[in-house]
Amino acid sequence: MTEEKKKSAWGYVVVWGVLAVLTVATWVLGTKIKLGVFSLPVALGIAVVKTVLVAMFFMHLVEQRGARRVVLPVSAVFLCLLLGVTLLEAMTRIRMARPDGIEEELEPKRPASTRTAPPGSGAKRLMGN
Amino acid sequence: MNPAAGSNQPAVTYLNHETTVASWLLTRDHKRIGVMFLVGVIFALLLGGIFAMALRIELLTPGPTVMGPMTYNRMFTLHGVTMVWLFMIPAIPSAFGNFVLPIMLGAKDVAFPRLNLASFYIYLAGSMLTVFGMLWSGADTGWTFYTPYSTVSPTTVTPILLGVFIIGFSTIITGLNFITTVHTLRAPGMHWTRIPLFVWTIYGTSVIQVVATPVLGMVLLLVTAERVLGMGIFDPSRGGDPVLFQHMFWFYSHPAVYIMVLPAMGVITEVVCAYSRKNIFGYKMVAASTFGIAFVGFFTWGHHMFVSGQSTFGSGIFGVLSMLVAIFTAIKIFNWVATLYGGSIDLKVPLLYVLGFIFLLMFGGMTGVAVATTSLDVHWHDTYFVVAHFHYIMVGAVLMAFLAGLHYWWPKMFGKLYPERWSFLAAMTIIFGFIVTFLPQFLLGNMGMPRRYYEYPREMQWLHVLSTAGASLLAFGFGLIAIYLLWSLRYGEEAPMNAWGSRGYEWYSGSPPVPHNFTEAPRFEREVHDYTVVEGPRVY
Repeated sequence: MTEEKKKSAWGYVVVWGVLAVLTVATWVLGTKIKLGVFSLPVALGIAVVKTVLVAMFFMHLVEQRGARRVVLPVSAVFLCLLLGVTLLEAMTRIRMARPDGIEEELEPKRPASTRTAPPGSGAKRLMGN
Repeated sequence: MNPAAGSNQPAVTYLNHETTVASWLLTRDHKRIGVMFLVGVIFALLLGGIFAMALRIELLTPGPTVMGPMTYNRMFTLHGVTMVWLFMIPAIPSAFGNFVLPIMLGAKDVAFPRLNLASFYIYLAGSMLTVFGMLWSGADTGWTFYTPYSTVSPTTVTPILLGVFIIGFSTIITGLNFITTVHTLRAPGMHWTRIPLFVWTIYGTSVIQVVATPVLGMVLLLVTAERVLGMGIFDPSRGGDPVLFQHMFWFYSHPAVYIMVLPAMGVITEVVCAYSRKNIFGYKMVAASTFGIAFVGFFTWGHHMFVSGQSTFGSGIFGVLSMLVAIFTAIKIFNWVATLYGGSIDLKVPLLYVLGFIFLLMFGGMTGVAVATTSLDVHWHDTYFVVAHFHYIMVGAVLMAFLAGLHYWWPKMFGKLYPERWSFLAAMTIIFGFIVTFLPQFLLGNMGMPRRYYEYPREMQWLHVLSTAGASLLAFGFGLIAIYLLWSLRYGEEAPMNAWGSRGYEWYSGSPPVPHNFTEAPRFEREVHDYTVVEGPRVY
């Protein structure tokens, strides 16, 4: 029986460090630096990198061989499918004409507080109103 | 040993090696877990069947018959929730998959036995929470929980949402277990092109379960958050988008149709081979078409949303992609028929269900292509035409396959034979009863009868009466099956080691199997369902 090589924990520590840096980067880019339209893609990009790191090192995908290595790309394909096709559908909708003939889009009425629960919901009863 | 030589059941089997209640409840044996799942899903089937009969009795007359409109709304929700989430989705993978998949691979057990037991208890916990919600006051949203109504309905939607959410974890764990088992626990000689087609379908199903179910979990939690915390994710009055709910819900729930249908197709393949005494025609194409269905099934969810406000472009794309599923399904049907052609047909009860399956799947599939055509679906959407279409798939196909598998593997699971004549009568009653129940619903839908309606015009009554008469036949058939199967457990004739003379790999173990499936490591040196050799498979 061959003796298993003892693996060093330093690799994991380094990966953890990178994850911590990326977490701080997310916070900084979300609160201190205004990226405008790029804020969402950048945040999602960082999240994807962190996901890949966790899957590859903490879930040991990097050590796998053969068919098991397709787990990550397959997951990515299906995630892109869900997001991509849903967004594609939303982008190709034709806006309904307003009955008053005005061409501006109707803005949804937003409640004063996002914590306002709909009628009959559990929170409404909990809040006692 | 020649298995056809008569009964030679092992002295110690998975059923009798330990007989305490705790030995069942704490077991890590995949076979016992499979049996417990079987009991659970059959109980759900009984519950869903009672709700269905209540609906059909109510619809005997155009006005009120036995219940009020609000009770009717709750009743169709309970029927849908029970049948889809508690019965259909776990039925074949969790019950039969758990029982025969490791044996077919020559493994002692699944890859994660403890996780397997956990998946059963998670299923049980989710089911109990769902049933609690039903008993508390029930929900009236339908099994699809469409927003924005489900976010404001005063009925007990939240426990049912959470119950289904919990059941989802059971599905994911089971899928994960099967994928790992197929990759890591195959016996010597079991290379990829020898894997039985039932295992291939379970594998394809498992991929769907693992990839799609988390999305269902997310969307159900979001609806719960909207109900409890008042978040505006799907409510348009708060800036939300109700169509987003439908996208996320159907991203799981349309592939969920294939979670139900693919294992059913696996059962059909095994049974067709066993009773035509031939190996499958076009093994590789049948296996590939399984993944074709699984993959293309992910591109079709928008066909549920043709009248939801979805873009015309989206509807067109989804409509065309939906039709592709028919190609892969047709490959399977062609190969099953080609296998039967020229075979040495032995018309036993499981094969009767298979023939019913193929006939009804054709109806369900072809009407599926019709409703995937956007212009037709606008007319048929939310009518009984759609109800009939998906019942032809879910009952006409999945339930027939479930019954085929139940009868085919009954001697393997319990070492008992059931009475042939009674089972033949029950099968004929169920197939005929099904057609009488659901064929009129196509006509009703075409006449404009909306689904989930409590009242209807008088001129539609004769078709509703016909449908209820068929449902009564179905109930009679199921009652008959329950009686003779329970009878067979106690009084049935002892089954021979290989009751059907099958060459399927699961018959390499005893009937019932020994605790760890085999007394020695099996070697698979022949193709699965190889009938060119006179003697049956060696029992290890």
